[in-house]
Amino acid sequence: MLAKILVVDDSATIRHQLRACLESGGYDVIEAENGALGLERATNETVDLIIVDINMPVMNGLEMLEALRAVPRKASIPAFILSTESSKSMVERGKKCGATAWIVKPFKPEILIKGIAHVLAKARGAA
Amino acid sequence: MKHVPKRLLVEMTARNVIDLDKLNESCAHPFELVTESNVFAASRWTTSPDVTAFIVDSSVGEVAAVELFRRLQQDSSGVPFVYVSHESAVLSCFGPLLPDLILRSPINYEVLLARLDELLGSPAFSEIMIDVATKGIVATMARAFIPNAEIHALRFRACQHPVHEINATIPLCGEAISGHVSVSASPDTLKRLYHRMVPHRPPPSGRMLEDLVGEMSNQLLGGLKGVLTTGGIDFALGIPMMYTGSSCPVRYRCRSGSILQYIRGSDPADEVAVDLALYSVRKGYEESEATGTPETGELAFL
Repeated sequence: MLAKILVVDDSATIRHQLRACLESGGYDVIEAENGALGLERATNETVDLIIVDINMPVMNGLEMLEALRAVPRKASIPAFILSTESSKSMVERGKKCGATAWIVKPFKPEILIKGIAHVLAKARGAA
Repeated sequence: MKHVPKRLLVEMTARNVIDLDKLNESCAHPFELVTESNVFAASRWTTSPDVTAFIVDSSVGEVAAVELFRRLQQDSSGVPFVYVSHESAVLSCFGPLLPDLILRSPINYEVLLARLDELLGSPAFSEIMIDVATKGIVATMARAFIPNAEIHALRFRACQHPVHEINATIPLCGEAISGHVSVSASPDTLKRLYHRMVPHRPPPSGRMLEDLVGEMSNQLLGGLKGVLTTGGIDFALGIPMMYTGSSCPVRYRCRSGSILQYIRGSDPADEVAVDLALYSVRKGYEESEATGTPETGELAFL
């Protein structure tokens, strides 16, 4: 079964770009356009990894991760932050919210795919 | 990037009341002067993004000058309007509208230049700030959207309105700095860029094009933040607001001036206009060592 990745970004352009990149890397992709919808999908569906933006309307990515970490059985889903934010303080906040890795937009598809493969292999090994 | 041209539209008759050479020599800012000899010709410029200020001489006719000012207020409210008068009762002819400066002829150039400096000379745009900001924006554009992107033209302007049909404006705000970045492009340009980014998807709808220009503004501001952070200037990014059409209700105005960059790739048709306006800068850019923040596009494990 293909690993399922949840992409949470308010920009449809980025969601399309990520979908193309991830599907070509052999992953199943589901989408959400803000943190609240992302939280709902991550809570109600089986998701292997999350890629989430920070600045979004309704609920931002850090708030979403914080809320998700409080949900039993969802606390350990790996989460990559993909954002234009790069400041040290923001990265620290991401770490506190349980983010696994940080990528500053624009992303490089090959680096993203390699990183996902590495994290998913590690998660499978630990399970 | 030392020379940032500002363009003054000077409307005058052949009597040549304003001594253009004198104005150009004395001014602290590098100006390009565009002259028109009648209101009809000058009216073409009221919606132009390339005109920084209007200087109008009363010898073209008082009624015509007032009409031009009224039109400018309507099209590009905020663009400085300087009126040079040969009459004594000047204010009455403008009614409730007030130009930024009214000068009696013969012109006191010292007063004119001081006022222009005040209206246009933005402390936000120190040479280093212009250099760093434009490089940061172009580098992000080249990495994410337009391969081989370069600045085709650079303008300083006092007030903004959209250059192309589809626009996005995103605010920036921090302790040391505040302002906005506005990005605009034509539908055709955006369709080509979208197709390059996601080649296998169906042609984008109008809403998708707005989304693309919004994401562009977001990433360009992120790139700007990356370079300014290395100079000790940090800020938070807002969420982009997108709109389409020349009659869009949003006009992004500011009195502090802005830097308008026309950015193009190898194909000249791929032009994107990026307008950086800074309302306040309370700290200078001071280059420092690497800050330990993640590199663009690289994966940093936390």
